[in-house]
Amino acid sequence: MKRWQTPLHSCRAAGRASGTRMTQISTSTTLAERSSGRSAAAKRKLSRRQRRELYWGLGFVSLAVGGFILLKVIPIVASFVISLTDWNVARAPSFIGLNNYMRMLTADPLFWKSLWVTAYYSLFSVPVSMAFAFALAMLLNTRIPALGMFRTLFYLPSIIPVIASSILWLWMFNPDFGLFNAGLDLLGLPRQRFIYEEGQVIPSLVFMSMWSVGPMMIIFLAGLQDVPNQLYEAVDIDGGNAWHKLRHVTIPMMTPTILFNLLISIVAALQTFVQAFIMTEGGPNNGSLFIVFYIYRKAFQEQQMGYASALAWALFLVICALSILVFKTSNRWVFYHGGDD
Amino acid sequence: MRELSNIWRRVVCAGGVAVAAGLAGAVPAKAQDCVEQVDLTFTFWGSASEKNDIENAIRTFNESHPCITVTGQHIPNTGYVEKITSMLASNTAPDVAYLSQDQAFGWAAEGRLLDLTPYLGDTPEDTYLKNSIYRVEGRLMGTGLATGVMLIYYNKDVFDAAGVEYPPANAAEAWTWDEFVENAKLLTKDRNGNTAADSDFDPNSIDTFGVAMPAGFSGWYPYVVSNGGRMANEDGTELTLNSPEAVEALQAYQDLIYKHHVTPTPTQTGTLPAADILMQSRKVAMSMDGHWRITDFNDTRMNWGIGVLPMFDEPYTPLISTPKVIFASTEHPDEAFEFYQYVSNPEQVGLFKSGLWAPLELEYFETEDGLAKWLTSEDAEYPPEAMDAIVNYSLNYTGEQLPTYQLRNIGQIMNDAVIPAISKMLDGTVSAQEAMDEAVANAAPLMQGRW
Repeated sequence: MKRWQTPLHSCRAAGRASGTRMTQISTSTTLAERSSGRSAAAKRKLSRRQRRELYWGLGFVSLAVGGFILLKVIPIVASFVISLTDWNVARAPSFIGLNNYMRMLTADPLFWKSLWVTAYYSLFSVPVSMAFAFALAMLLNTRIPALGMFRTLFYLPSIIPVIASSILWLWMFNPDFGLFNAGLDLLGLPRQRFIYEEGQVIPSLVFMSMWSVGPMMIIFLAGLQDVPNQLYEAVDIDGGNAWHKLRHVTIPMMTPTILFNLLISIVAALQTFVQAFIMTEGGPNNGSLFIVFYIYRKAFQEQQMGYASALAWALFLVICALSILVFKTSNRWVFYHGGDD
Repeated sequence: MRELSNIWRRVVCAGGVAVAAGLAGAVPAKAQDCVEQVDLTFTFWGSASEKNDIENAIRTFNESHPCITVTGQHIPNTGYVEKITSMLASNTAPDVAYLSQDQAFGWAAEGRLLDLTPYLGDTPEDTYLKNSIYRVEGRLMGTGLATGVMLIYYNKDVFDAAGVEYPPANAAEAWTWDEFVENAKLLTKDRNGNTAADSDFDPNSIDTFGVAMPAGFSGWYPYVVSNGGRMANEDGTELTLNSPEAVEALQAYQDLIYKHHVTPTPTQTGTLPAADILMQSRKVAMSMDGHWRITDFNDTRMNWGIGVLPMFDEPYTPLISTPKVIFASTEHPDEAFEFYQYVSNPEQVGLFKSGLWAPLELEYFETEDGLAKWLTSEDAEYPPEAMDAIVNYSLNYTGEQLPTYQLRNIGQIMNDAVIPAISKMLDGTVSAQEAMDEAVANAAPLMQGRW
């Protein structure tokens, strides 16, 4: 839950706040509220109470910031340093400059393959699962009997640990006695080999990704309930139908939520690991060699920590680039109702 | 020497324990007579029952060695390498550990593992099965944990019903590959009761397969060797799996699936239950698997037996043995070695009698006394063929050490070149020749010689 809540708030904050106000938000909310409207000079002279609040505020924040620095910033910096070395854990790391990056770009076909596999998967799983989650949220936002039960049912798969659901899908994909091939038999269609064939493994995993859209669906649902009713009524008065409501009210009003879900699911798709780890071991013939799985293999099976760190940085840069791209283009299609209040 | 000091320590310490226990009852049962109280950590993997047996061994060790306390840390197979790697990186390596071959040799070469020459002597080959001894760049990394050979398991009832003779248990009488295929065909039945040898056999509705083969390295490599092929050249600079001998054997292996229809496809194998279950439910008649599966077969109620692998030019089975190491960072090498030996001692660890492990030392194979400590002991759980199919087979037909214990960079060679090619071959999309040419080409930049 936390993982999607925090960025959502900062998304909204980023949407509302203009440049300078961001700094206040990052220090302390109460302080920001109190001092808003005052000049910068006034800020320097804090009353004793304000100062005490500042210390308390910083004290509370320091835990989070300290944890962030200790558990995220330091490892991130360390991994960059390690990516410039040849390190197999047993030996002290030796500095080799950008050789790992050169090797990645020029001498490692599996890096490109893993990049391709990951891109191929993301390109399909992101839109497919988003559309599916959106459709589900729309359905669950209607007035039907036993609504609570349906909402629970569709969220349920997301509660199942991903290992357990991977094993469940392994059985459903089973070419000999799995559910899917039994279904194809009933329909008189030819049997498929799903995750056991190089050409089918990614489409199969995309299909599987629709199963765990619960969190995304809930976010959409929350967004849908925020859409003001009077806008729908206005469409009714203007003689519009359900399609007009969707096209001209729901979707525009939902764009901030869509933006958030888009970013989160792009990042999640690029970091796909468990499916490869549990279900396919990257196979067949490296057909599901997701880049995170490749990083894992280099680091922990082949003890090439330096090279694995370089791969991780490559992935980081790809995710950064895509996130920036999405953000930069978002002002063309994201509509923040309430404007800059 | 070691034995003597051990006995001495036991006597002294046991006396201490008895006094302490007698006086105070609840006082921790550690003797006060120890010069120093030694704590060791030992990491291992294994199934629940294996874990149980190892923990029992640790307990009895701690009870019989009051001055040493071994703490066992069971790490599941899937996370083992990661865990040990991070322990090593943070300088908290265990004292004694199981280690995967992909890591062990590299770490030994870097001096992170203790050279056991002072303990095992210069020629441990005189007293151990030679393939269970691991050397790295002149250092003695140690021995395996226990040994195991690859075998053919079979359901006797299925054989009797089909009127096929049991697979021989004596390697000198091993089936040739052609005999093996013919018999497997007679055992393979479709839903109408036709065998794979009949003309109206339907390969799309097979009810019983003749033989299940593991898709992994230990499943196909023995036949490459049996046919005179090798994984790599002498100095380990080139993969030679595309040699005519290797390709012939691998093509024969692929033909079991797509030409003779006696073996399930890898897809089918990967999703079917384990061999013992399959065989009990008569879905397969034979299964190639390791010695260690005896414990599982013992849990079934079927009438099963073991035999030797079929052969091409000469009978061969790989001797598989997980490296067992002492980390160089240990502060107590003597005590660590004491435990190192204990955990592979058939008299102390139940896994030898229950059929999971075979011992390392020749005396347990060659002498009646030695055999009585595991295989022929009263509470041992081995089938009658074991004398031939395990003892004789291990001693005389295990050839040279597997290349996986000798080639540098073996993890990457397997992951990047060999496994993808083999999986393509077993999927039936390419011939053995094409697959192996590709493997050899992909492996070329990865080959770094032998240890």
